[in-house]
This record gives sequence, structure tokens and C-alpha cells, in this order.
Amino acid sequence: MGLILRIEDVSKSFGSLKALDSVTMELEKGAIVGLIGPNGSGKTTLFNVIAGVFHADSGRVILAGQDITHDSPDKIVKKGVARTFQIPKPFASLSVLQNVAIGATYGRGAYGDRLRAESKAREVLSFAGLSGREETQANDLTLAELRRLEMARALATEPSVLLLDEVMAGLNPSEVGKAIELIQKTRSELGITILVVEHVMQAIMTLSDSVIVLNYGRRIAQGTPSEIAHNRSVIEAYLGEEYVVS
Amino acid sequence: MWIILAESWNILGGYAGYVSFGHATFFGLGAYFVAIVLRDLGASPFLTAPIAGLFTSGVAFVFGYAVLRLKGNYFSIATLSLNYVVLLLISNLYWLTGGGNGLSLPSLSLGIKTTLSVFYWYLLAVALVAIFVIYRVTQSTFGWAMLAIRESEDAARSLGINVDFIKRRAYAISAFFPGLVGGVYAYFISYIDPPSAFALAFNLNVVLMSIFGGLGTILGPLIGAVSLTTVLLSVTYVFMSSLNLAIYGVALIVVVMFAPDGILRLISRRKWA
Repeated sequence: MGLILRIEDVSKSFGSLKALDSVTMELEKGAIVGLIGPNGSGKTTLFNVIAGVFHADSGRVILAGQDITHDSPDKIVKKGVARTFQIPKPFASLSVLQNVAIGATYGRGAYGDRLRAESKAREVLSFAGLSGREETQANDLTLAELRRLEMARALATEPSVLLLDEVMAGLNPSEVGKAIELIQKTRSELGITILVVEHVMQAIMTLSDSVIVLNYGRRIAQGTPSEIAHNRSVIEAYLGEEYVVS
Repeated sequence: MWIILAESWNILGGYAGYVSFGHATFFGLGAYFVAIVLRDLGASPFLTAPIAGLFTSGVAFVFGYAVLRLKGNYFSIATLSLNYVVLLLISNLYWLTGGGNGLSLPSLSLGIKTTLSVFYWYLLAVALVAIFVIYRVTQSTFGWAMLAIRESEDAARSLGINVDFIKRRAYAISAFFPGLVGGVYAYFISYIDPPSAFALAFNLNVVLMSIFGGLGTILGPLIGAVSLTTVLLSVTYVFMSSLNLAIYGVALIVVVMFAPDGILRLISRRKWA
């Protein structure tokens, strides 16, 4: 299998707040790894550091043997890391097709001309279950569709690593089911390595090969979903000390 | 002339979503560039005007490094103050620009009628070129990138778009045309001084025309420029000159109230909806 992404001793502070405190983790090629933790534990910050939106104060981010710690976000996309946003950020007044085609044009695939970018976009849209919505304005999509659009746009950049930031928040159970299917399909059919931040525990438990838990910017646990579910410090972090039963 | 200015403003303002009040800055710089070259080297303004455009483009690319870090209203204010900085600079560099006295230029010795038609055809040709270039730009993937930036810079960045570079390029393209037109205008009027070359009202006109016609379209600024200029001129002929601004204001309010996306959207919606 081999490593695809390695986070090495990464720290990041905002003023006196230590958002990430020497976090180390590794992503095996083709794995789906869940990243969980209470609100404010540093999950989104970690995403932003990997994607180059923030630069780590110390430590390194290594993608397939290459140091990307100090690259700009657009360069990192071209090297193969794509991400979605916790709060969807569609190009609201553009069509669904254009939204995705822009990803195809400027991503790692670098589809130079419009026609090729658009046909790539159609392909991705049908993969993401958004066929028939190509000409709809992104504004008019439902939340579930918007989250699919976020994923489709990221996939259009042809990433090797995909960072999904709460793609299921606010979805109903049947929509969550479909989202899980899409993520599994992304791994099995496209071979993309996926790091998922999620509060929907059922989803994390079904999807992930392994789960990493952050709290106050520190990695407090790592293991298979069932190990994590019974981990003492994880229960402590989420529910408080008094709930820990041996 | 207004067509060219409104169209070129629309690249940055309408497509990339950066409302600049700096078009007059480039217009004035272009005017001075041509005037100084004509005075010192005697080169024909019709030839130096495009070079003035390249000059203002370059200036925009450099300015852009700083001002394009600001967003929304802050960007607008920064371009506005930049205009005053340049205005003051030009006013005080006596040895180069004649300062507040302005510069008088030799005019074409062809008689009024011929002179007018020469300028008319020259500017019409430039307008056509401008529309063509801008059309091509907006149809390219570069145009997509600008739209993406207008909609969400974070998302644009997350899809591999080099946001800062695209914005500076858009700014530079946008600044080429006012530089060129400013150069031609200086020759036409044959006298320039700082307040007239860097007039604030000028900025407002360009912005209003684009909004009036429709932001982020090719036809919009064209319609806006033609209709507003016609309205202005006819009002000036019929009444006294100060009334035109009032009517101008009323027209804009009506458009913003009933067709916030501009006249063009209103027409196209009627047709297809």
C-alpha cells in the first residue's frame, strides 16, 4: 500500500490559542480515515493546514514524499489534494456544470479547453449522482445536492487525497446513507484516499478503516472504529469524566 | 469612448466582482503619458496611445499587488485614494507635468470636421477591438476563473485557481483601455490639467454605465454607455447643463429599483421567462 500523506509534528497557534499541538498522523494509500473530536478540537484547522490555507508554525506536511508545508492552496490542489468546505461554498450564480468544470480546468487534471473540461464535469456529475442537474443554478440546489456538488467539484480536480469536512451535517438519514455510498464508491472506483471529518458517528463507524481523535489540538487516540468507541479518553473528551464506566 | 471605458471596467468589476474607482487614474496617467511623449519626442498620439495603455496596464499590475488584497468596499476606497495620490503626484512634479498649470498640446491642423471624424473612427475601431478582446477573455477559462473568484475566493483557491495572479491580470487588462483612451482624449482636447484628467465624476460615470446596462455581460456596458451618453447629451441640449445630472440620478434609481441586474437582464428575462 504505502504512505500517501504524512503529517509530522504539526503545530499551529492563533494568538495564544494552540489550535494544533504537535499532531502526527499518517494516511495509507487507499484508506478512509475518520477524524473526530469535540467542537474546536482543531479538525478544520488541520484541514486548512494540509490544504495550505494556513501554514503550520512548526512541523511538516508530506504528500507522496514531497514536502508541501509551505505551498499555496492552488499549488497543493495541483499536486493532488482536494477539499470540501464545512459550510458549502458554491459559485452560487453559476450553473452546476460550470461549478464542476472550473475544478476540472484548474485542478490537477488541467483540462485546458472548455469542451474537455465540460465533458469531464459531466462524467463527475453522473458519478456523484447529480446527472440532470447540470444546467441548474447552484443557488437552487437543496442542501444534500449542494454537498454533492462540493464533492463533485473536488473530484473534478482529480485528487489523490480528498479531505471531506462534515459533508453529512444537516442531512436526513436516507441522505446520509447515499453520502456514505458515494464516499465508498470514491475509494473503490477511483482509488482516492479520503480523510473525513464528521459528527455523524454512524457514518464514521461504517466508513472508516481507522479513526483519529483530536481534543484541544492534540491527538488523543487512534484505532479501529470499535476500539475508539470503547476508548476511555475519547469518552472522557466527549461526555466528561463521570461518564467513564469500566 | 464611454463604451470602451465601461466595457474595460466591467472585466474587473462585473466579472471578478471588484468595484474599482480607479479608472480615472489610468485615464489620467494615459493622458499624461501621451502628452509628455508628444511634447518631448513629438511622437504621434495615435501611435503612443496603445503604448500608454501598456504603461497603465503595468502600473495596474504593480498596484494590484497591494490593493487587490482588499475586498469589497475596502478595495473601492483604496482605488479611490490611489486616484488622489496619483493626482497629487502629477500636480507636484512641475518639471515633468507642468503641475497645476497643465499641459497644452498642439492640435491636429486638419480643420474641425476632419479632426472630429478622425478621432471618431479611431475610437470606434478601438471600441470594436476592446469588445472583441473582452469577449474572448470572458469566454476563455480565464473568464471562468474570474467568475469563480467573484462567487467565492476560498472555493476558487480550493480548486487550484491562483486567485491573486488572476485578479492582477484582470486588473491589468482592465487598465489597458482607459490608458489608451486617456491618451487619445488628451490629444483631442489638446489641454490637460490634473483635476480634469483624474476627475472623480468620471469614475462614477463608468461604474454607473456598467450597472445601468448589466454587470458581468458584454452587451450591458455597451447599452449602458450608449443610452446614458445619449440621455446626457440630449438633456444638455434641451435644458441647461446642470439638470442632466438630476435626470441621470433619477434614471439610475429607476434602474436599480426595477432591474437591479441592469437593463439587459430585464430585456432577456421578458423574452425567455
